[in-house]
Amino acid sequence: MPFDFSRFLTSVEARARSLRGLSIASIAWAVGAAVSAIAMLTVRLLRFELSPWLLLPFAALPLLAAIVGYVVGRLRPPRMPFLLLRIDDTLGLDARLSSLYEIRRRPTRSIFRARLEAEVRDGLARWRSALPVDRRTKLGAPTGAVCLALALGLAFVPLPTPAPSPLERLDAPHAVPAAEEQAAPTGTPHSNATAPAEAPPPIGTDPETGAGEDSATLGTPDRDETLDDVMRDLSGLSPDEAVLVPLSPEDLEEMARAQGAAMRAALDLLERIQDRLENTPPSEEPPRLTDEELADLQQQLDQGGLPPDLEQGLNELMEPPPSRTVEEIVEDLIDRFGDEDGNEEETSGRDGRPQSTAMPPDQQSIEDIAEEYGQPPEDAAPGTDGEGAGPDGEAGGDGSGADGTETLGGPSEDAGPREIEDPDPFGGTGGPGGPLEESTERQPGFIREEEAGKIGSEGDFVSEFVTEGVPIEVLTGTDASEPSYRVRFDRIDSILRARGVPGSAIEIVRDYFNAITEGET
Amino acid sequence: MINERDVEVAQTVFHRLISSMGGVIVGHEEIIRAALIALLCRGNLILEGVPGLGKTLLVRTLAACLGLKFSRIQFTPDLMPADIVGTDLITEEAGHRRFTFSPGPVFANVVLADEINRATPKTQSALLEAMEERTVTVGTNTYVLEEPYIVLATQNPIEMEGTYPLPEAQIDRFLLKATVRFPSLDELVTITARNTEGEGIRLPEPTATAEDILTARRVVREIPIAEGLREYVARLLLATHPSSQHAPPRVAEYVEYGASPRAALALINGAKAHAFLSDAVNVRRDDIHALFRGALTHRIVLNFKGEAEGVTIDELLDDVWEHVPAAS
Repeated sequence: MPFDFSRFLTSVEARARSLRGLSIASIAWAVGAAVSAIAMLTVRLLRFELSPWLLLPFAALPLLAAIVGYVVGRLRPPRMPFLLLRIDDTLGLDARLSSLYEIRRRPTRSIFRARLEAEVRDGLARWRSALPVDRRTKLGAPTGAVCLALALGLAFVPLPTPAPSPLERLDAPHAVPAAEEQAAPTGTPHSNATAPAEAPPPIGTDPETGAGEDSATLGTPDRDETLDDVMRDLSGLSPDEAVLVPLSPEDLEEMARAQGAAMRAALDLLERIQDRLENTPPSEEPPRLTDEELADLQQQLDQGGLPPDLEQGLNELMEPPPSRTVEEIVEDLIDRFGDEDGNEEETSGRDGRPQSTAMPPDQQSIEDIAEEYGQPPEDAAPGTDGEGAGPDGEAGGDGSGADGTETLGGPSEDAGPREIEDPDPFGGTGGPGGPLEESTERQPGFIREEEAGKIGSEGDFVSEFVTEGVPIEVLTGTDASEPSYRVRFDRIDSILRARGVPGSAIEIVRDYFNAITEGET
Repeated sequence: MINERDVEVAQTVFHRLISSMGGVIVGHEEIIRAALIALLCRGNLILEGVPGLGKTLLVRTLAACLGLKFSRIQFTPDLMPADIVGTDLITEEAGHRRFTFSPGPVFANVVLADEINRATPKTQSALLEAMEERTVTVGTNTYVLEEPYIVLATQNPIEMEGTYPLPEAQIDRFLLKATVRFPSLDELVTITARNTEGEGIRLPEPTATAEDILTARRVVREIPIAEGLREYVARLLLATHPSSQHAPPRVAEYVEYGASPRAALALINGAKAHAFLSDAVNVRRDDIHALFRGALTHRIVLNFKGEAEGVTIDELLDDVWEHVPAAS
């Protein structure tokens, strides 16, 4: 059978074109798939709300690129002399094949053609092995497939939703729910309704002046990150580690007994002072406390356990202001706390339930003590304005917080001495803060406070914080509807210091908890 | 027009030539082959080696085997061009005086230019036209040299005093340069035996004619070389140029001038002749490799740094061969 060199050349050229087409197609396939994957990843990371089916054209990109690459690769003719020389080298033909191709292109018949064809014919059985699928094709195809699978996976597999950043959460209060807008007084700016001035001082704000701390320390993104981390830590604490720990009934009883004993001792001391003052002959100079009485008072204060109002009164007694005399102060204190001590009359609590406010502290029910520790009433509905305030409405603050149920005993603006009728030592339960999200979005068991930020003169955020509280395991006292808590300052300190929060900011946190718990811990 | 029979005859003749020369010349097969390649390619050969290695004997043997006219020119500093190419002499014939050309020793088929670097450049240049154009011009007359024509020159690399290195233009006209190595122990023993016993060396009888040589030349020119190998030769040549992108680093550092395009012609033609002498019907990469050094070594000029550091051109050519990929 004669050797058909022309047919052989046609086969070689066809294979070369196919291989070249495949090579370019595989590269185009891989690149296109990589581009698809990157595009898909970008779409998902930027959280464009696109249907996965709308992303399918991305997946078609590598296929299209491969087809175009294959066509382009096939269109370009191979350089036959060099292709044949490659086959020569691979098959060990000593350039006979390429030389045969050379002399076939000559116009005259070469005397060496017959010899060359005879020498080449037997060596061409494995010529296809000299034109193998190249490495680019072998690598490009699987690489493209992996990229395409990644792209499809990104299109259809939902990504985990990360927690919103502090700034995102800061934006949330500006979206005032419609119901809350309606609840605000007509013509009153929303900021007035939320009364940020009555809110507890946010972290990073001077509680006295309201001014923010040095922006270099508090206004930087690092600071925000630190606070965010702290909040995450707080929210992830186990009940054992929580800075707010529930009180057991025994704890509450013990605390009630201690408070009662301290009050009795203080009242006894006041009565002794009153007796001495009454037995002292009148003189031109106002009566003063003796050193022994001062020492006893200081001892009482050091022992602690007194109600804040009484403690403040005793301090005032030790250093009476010019406008009041010792007698007046003593009388006032005995009137207030002595009556309370002996008053058996029941008054209505802020929640309307019968509540004993005058019985001796050691005889107060655990329920009452628990309520003193700041458990908000259940019926303080969100959005109410001042509903959480005490009956006097003054000592309890105006309850400006819109979400009384979500705050931990929001402190009143006026934390001064309360009237005896006020059963709620912490004032209104309405907490501070601006408008919050719908209650359906809140996580049960968390205490959340938010305050709308202000934009400073240089466009920076000034004194704006979002605090997401700790998970609270509700421990019921005698009444399952009224859980109680205790703040662990040591935990707060350790967590904040571990996060590198400045000491001044830690003090603010401490003041914050002091304010909302009235120093009862 | 040649045919396959011519190919067979030519190859047979040259095998016989190699055998005949091998009977006289001990060793130096590569020198014999280089001389025959130069003859087949219509080129010239320069032999370099110390005196006494049999360079002159090789040339004389070649001429004897071919049955061609042989002439030897001993180059000396006082040799004049007219001593080589010939001169017009005033002759008197029948009472009339006229100029008659008296041909010089270049008018032969095989010319041995012995110790060519001893003559002045002016005299050396007298060979240029004969070597390249196969013509000699004296006065206003140009004389064509008879084919086959080949100049085989020798030069002594040791004696530098009183020598004149060949100018680049002239040395480029040598197809190949062959370095005659010192014989080995066995070869020396054989050489002494042949020269000291019996009747001594006898030059062989002619085994080929001028017509055989010319036929073989046509056959060699018909031998095909693939386009890929032709491009390979071009890349090798470019790699000898220091400014070329194909040049290896040492070439770029030590070479002043690379090989001329004539080197590529020499390499391809020489490879064809080498393939012919190897009974091949096409040029192979091995043929190119066999001629690579011989065709390029005398066409590359080292720069001052290369000469100062004792770099040899053969080392650089090895670099070039390793550096240039076989396939494009």
